[in-house]
Amino acid sequence: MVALAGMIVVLASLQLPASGQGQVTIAFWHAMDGPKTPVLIGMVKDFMKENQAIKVDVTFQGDYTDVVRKVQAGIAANALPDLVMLGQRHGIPNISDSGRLLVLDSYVTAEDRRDISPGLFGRYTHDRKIMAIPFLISTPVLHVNASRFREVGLNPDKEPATWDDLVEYAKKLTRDVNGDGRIDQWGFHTHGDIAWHVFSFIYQNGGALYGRDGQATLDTPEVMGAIQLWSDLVHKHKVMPALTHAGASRLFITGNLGMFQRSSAFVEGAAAQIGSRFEYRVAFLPKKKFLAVPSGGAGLGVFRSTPEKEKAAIALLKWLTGTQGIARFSKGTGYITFRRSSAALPEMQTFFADNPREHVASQQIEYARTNPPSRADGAVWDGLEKLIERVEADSNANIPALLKELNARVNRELAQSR
Amino acid sequence: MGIVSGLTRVQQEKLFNSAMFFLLCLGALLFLFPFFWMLSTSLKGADEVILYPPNLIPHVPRLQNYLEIWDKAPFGRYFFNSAVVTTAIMLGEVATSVLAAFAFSKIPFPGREKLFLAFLGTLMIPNIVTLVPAFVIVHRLKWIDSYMGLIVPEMATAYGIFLLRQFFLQIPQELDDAAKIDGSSRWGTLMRIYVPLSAPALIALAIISFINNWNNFFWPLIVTNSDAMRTLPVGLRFFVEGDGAGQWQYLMVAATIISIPPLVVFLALQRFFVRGIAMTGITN
Amino acid sequence: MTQTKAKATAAVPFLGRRFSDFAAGYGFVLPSLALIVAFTFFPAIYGFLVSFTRWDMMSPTRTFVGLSNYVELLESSEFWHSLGVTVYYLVGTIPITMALGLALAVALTRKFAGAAFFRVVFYSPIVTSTVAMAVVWLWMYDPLNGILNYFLLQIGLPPQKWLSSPATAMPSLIIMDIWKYVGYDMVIFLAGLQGIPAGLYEAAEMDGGGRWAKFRFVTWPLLAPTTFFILVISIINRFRIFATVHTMTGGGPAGATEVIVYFLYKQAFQYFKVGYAFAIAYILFVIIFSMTLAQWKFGKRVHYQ
Repeated sequence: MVALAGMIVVLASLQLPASGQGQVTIAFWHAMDGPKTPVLIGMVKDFMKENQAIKVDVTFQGDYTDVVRKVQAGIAANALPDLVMLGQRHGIPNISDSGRLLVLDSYVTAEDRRDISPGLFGRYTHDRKIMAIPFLISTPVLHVNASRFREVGLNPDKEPATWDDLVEYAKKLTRDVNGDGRIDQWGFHTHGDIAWHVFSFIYQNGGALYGRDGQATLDTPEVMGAIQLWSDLVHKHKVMPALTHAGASRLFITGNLGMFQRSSAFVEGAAAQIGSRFEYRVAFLPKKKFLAVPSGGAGLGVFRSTPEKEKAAIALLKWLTGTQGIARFSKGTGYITFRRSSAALPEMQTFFADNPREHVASQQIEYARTNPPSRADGAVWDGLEKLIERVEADSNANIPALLKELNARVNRELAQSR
Repeated sequence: MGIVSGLTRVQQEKLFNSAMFFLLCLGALLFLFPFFWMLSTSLKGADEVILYPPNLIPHVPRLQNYLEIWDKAPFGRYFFNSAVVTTAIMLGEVATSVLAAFAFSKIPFPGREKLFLAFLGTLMIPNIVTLVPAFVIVHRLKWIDSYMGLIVPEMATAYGIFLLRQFFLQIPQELDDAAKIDGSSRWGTLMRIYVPLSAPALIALAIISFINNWNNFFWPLIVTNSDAMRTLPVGLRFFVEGDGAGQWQYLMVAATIISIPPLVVFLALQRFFVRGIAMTGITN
Repeated sequence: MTQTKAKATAAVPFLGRRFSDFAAGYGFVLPSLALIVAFTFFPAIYGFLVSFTRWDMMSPTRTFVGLSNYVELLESSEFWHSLGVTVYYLVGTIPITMALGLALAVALTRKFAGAAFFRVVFYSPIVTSTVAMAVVWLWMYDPLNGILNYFLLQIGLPPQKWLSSPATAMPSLIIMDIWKYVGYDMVIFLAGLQGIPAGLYEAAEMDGGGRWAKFRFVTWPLLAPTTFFILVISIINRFRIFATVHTMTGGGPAGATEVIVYFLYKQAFQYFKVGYAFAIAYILFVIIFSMTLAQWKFGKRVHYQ
């Protein structure tokens, strides 16, 4: 009898479901699509293996804008995830002000602050509180068709270092190859998301989007200079075809574009699609007054909920954004190794040595310029994009006047959202 | 005109008809071209798609694109969801519209005219306004990311009621009276007389509902969280920006796949379609 | 059982009949009513109330600002610009689509070999998903590698910039819209044409009228209700376009295709000015509603001619 009871007890304890022992389920919303996603999923799976008590529901929510929309609706309906991927220019101030995000300052150690550039943290800070940890970071880089360089007599080892170099090279690279009167190969182009690329020119010229007082500084000579360069590339030097940014990637991949400015996240996909069509290299962006680049991508934030869920979400957050996590993520996806400790790991050193293209962005991140996110980011982005499109379409566009108008509008938005 | 007036009336007719036929053929070719181009691109390989000058017809049609698409993104699941959701909404919409249209046309109840006008008014509210508040309600009902959430809110439209009421109004009162004398209840009258008489109009409504809901994009986008629940248009849009970006051949494959079911439904039932619209006499 | 019911209804006094009507009426209407109230009415009222606040839909506090959203809108050049873009779109698409739809309906209303085939062909674009067709046309309009520019070059015309220039972007969308909706107008015109008694045409012929006379004195006047119906529906539908702009142009370039609903969408989801966005929605609602009302009243007069 006792033996039977004993057996039953043993059997019962063996079959106790894990949830009975305090398993926590958390939801993780991300915005990763494409061939790099398995890297993230793999990392989450391994986290679950190491942390049997935590189950993570990982779901793809669309792009960063979709995530914000879901968050908006989720706040209204009390249907929020625990860990969320937040785009760096996608509403972080507003989401923070909802009061639903967990302030992460207490989870960031002094070591973290030494390891990650304050500029990066700044992008995810609101009202001086850290609301997300950088995770998926990119900068624009210059994708170069080295074969084309050689064909027109340029040395691909001498990357364009200044704006003047950029223009000079681009002019050589723009040509009509088959004599039909149409230009077949272009010198320079950028991908869509043109506001982001304009930022790089603005920063390189010493300009900024906002001043110390928080007011917009879009009508300064530095910004005007950047826009003027853009206009000249299209109208004066004729090295960039107007308003065709959506097709620029294809132009580059088929070998018809000499220099292509696009996110560092494009490198792996580009290499795969280019194959052996031409020699593909990656270079730093050129500089004017400074070498400066904007940062892009996303961070990970935690929504407030029960203590157990928050704890679990923080654990996953640390796993993904720790030294090992960033190294693994970078290696697998080509996003930037922004943690200095990660970049110093022997496996990353080997990786960089074997993949010089991927290394460029991780080096360039040291020159990242960022502002804290602002409520008027939407207005700046939309307004700048429209302005650039106008400038590309019209060689007589009055750039100073347009910038003044935009500046006033952004300041109005800022005033309203106080 | 000088030449033409020399011909007989019959010859003028023939000339006119031939000219018209020719123009119609030309028009049809132009109209069908985007479909043709969609199909043609969908059968090309990655290298051939970006060829310039482009080929009208692929050198070697790559049917395997149609096999590969199912791996590029969970189109199989999207397809299944679209099928289930669209059919359910269509049936629900027709059923509720028939009931309401019957009441609005044949049952004199207090407040009828005002209520009908209110229903009509809802047709003019841009759906973007009702989107997020509707989401909140759906969440309270715990229908987020589920078939219920995809189906039920979309059955709420006054268009079908409007259409069917027009039709029912034309059915003479005598039929009603005859039915009553035979002892039929309202429900019986509806089922045994009105529904059979209005079959073409019902089918027309079903077709419209199927097509609209199959192609619906905004609501499924916001009410679903997981890939397992998404419908085809949402899936395509993610694909255009994600994996499929710049890969026009796969984008065209997806576009083709989405277009086939509504086209099939329409082709199979199009006989009823014009008749149905005409019968509703909305034009009067 | 039905017999007993009939007797019972006959025997019940007037009040009972009224109640029976009431119960039956609302009973039959209930499913639709419940759905529409829950998922259209109620959210619409909620949205209307929010249009008087400043809110980003995320913060727990909503600031009541009275009419200032509406005032700001009416003073906003971007709002008027987007309204202008939308009207440009309407004026560009509706007359041509209706004229072509009518022409096709007249051509296809007779029964000749292949008429059904043509009807199906011209209607088929409507049957397809807007997103899918937007992607196809996006590819056709590609300024560097697209097939349309290739055709233009072949016949000696200069290649166009299509969606990549502010001047040609809206015309490009208009062309695609006409392609998509001609069939819809055609089908409704066909239905209207079927309602015209053949006798009237015979009478016109006996009066010596030719093809054009028949059209002008019989077809056109009798189609007036149909024409009005299509006009009203077309205006309502075109005011609401979004998916094509979202997929093909993102409102650009330089805001050239930023139609009113897209402007609204941006305000809500990019600028996070949700109250403001809802105010746009209600102004739009007022415009559409008053236009429809005017059409209806005007239409009634035409009908009784």
